[in-house]
Amino acid sequence: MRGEEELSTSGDGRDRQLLRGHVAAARAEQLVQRYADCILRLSYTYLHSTQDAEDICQETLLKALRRQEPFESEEHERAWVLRVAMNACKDILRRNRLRSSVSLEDAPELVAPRVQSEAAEQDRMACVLDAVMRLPASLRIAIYLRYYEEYEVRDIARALGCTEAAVAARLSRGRRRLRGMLKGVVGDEFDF
Amino acid sequence: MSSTSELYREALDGFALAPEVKARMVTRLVAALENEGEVGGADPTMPECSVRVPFASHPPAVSGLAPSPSGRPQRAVLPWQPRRTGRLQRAGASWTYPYRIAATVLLLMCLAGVTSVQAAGVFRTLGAALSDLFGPVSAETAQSEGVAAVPGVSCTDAGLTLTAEAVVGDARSCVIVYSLSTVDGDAFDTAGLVVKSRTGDAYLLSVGGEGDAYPLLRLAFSEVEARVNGEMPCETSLSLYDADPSDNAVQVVQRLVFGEGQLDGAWDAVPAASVRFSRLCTWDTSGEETVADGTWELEVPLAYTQGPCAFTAGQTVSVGGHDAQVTALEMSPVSIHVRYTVDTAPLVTYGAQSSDGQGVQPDAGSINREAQRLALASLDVVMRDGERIRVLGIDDDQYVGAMPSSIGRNANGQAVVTYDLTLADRVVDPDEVEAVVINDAVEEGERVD
Repeated sequence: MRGEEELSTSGDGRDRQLLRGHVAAARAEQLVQRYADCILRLSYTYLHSTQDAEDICQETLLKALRRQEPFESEEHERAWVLRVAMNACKDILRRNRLRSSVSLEDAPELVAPRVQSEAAEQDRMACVLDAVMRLPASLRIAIYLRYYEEYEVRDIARALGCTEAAVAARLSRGRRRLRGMLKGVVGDEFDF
Repeated sequence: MSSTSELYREALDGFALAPEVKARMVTRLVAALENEGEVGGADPTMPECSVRVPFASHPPAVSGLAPSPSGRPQRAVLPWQPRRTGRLQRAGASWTYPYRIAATVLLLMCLAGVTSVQAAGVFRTLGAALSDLFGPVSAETAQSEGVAAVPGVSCTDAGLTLTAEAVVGDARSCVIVYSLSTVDGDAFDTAGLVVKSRTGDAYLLSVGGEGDAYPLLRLAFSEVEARVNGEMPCETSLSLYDADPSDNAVQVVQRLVFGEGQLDGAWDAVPAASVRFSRLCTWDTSGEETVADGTWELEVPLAYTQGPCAFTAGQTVSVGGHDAQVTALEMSPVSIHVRYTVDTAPLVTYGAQSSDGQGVQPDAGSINREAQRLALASLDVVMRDGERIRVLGIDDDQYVGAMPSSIGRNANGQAVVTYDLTLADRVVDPDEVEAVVINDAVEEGERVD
């Protein structure tokens, strides 16, 4: 096509800039689609709140776009993104000392409508989520990465920057506490 | 009926950003990149989640590289850009110089061996040796200046083999990691040797991030001697822990802090730490009990390339109500050196810069008061992935760091304050450092701009 020939032969800086802009937009779109919801869930798991999620997402994905070294794989990219997002969460946690949780209904602009399910199932779902959210942060994050993101222990260790032994210990302690908290609520269906 | 993990996943599935929010996010990301000029360029604006610090009222002078005392090439550092929040940011390039090749060769020699357990002890890769203590150490970090493997340095006596595995350090301090293993392969029974407080909590040797730690053991050597360049280091500490109770080894971590100028001239060759440990024993409130009555002597080459990462100075901060100008800021994988001049006279001087004459020693109370008066409020190392490491100041309601190592007086009568801070449980690759933030003033509960 003529346009493409012009881009490749004319050496016009403006065309190259346009092309770079298209590439950047495509890459930004890809990152947002791939990680925005994940970062939202991570923010909630860390901060008991989705209020800062958009800022954390923006900061994290901007770093990913600015990164010059290529990722080894999609798994490597995902672990890196999670790591940066977790550091941003910890930064906010330290600075704002947020204690109270914010329910989803307080941020209707950010979050898409949830699928309605039976009331009883909703209650059990709320109990399980509440139990996980009452765990200490280090255990909570390990449970989230294992049971929602379905990471293997070695990948969790990589994302958290700790040893595999530490991850295994946190998962074990998290499961033990959850079993105690959910006794009488879920019965034989406990499978954390 | 759904299981707990299914219910958990279903609950979190409800968290999803609305499509219009995602579209807005893409637009903002592209706009941010366009403002920078190109993907990968430096971000001239502070991120929204930045920290407010006292504004630097005096633009710094742009200074070139100061030559190192030994004349060896230093890492190239570009003049830093003054920033509204007073962060020192390095936009540096790194030289390659001959000593880096030596460190890399040592590393490759060590990494060629797969982690394995042998009857004579435990041989581990450099990464494994350091990662117990400092968290996962990437190959890139392990190859940076300040980190070196120590192949083949061991000594056996009284049924135990002491093996030096890795050394991390710079011109001012170093950390040597050893393994102490049984010759016959029997496991070390350390279950009853954990150091505990009155409440029964174990004292932990902090490891890496996220609070990982190994319990300190009630094991010690009755005599420890270390000499570097023929002299005793200023400070030395020793800790023992057990990374894997199922194997036949425990780990020993020794930190040596050298006096100012102690190793001047030594770095033209490879200096060695001559260490001597005698009689391993357990201890409790009733006394000591010998575990192994032996002597282990090693020559540990400090084979890391000590090329501290230098940040050009000139930043102005506020100290004790006075202006202070940072005149030196250097980082290595294990320590940070900061020196600043305060626009006021010191009331007392101490340490290497003491100018009060021989035999005139200020009392401890005077030193403490002066140190508090002229101290920094905080010092943080910010990594490229956003992690912030507090090296000095209040961190989670606990004080970290130390008092200034010396306070002196310059020709103009101004106080010159020096900190030599160790990164207590971290190995940091200076290439991954984005900024050093001094006197980070954070008001709790207030969102930053």
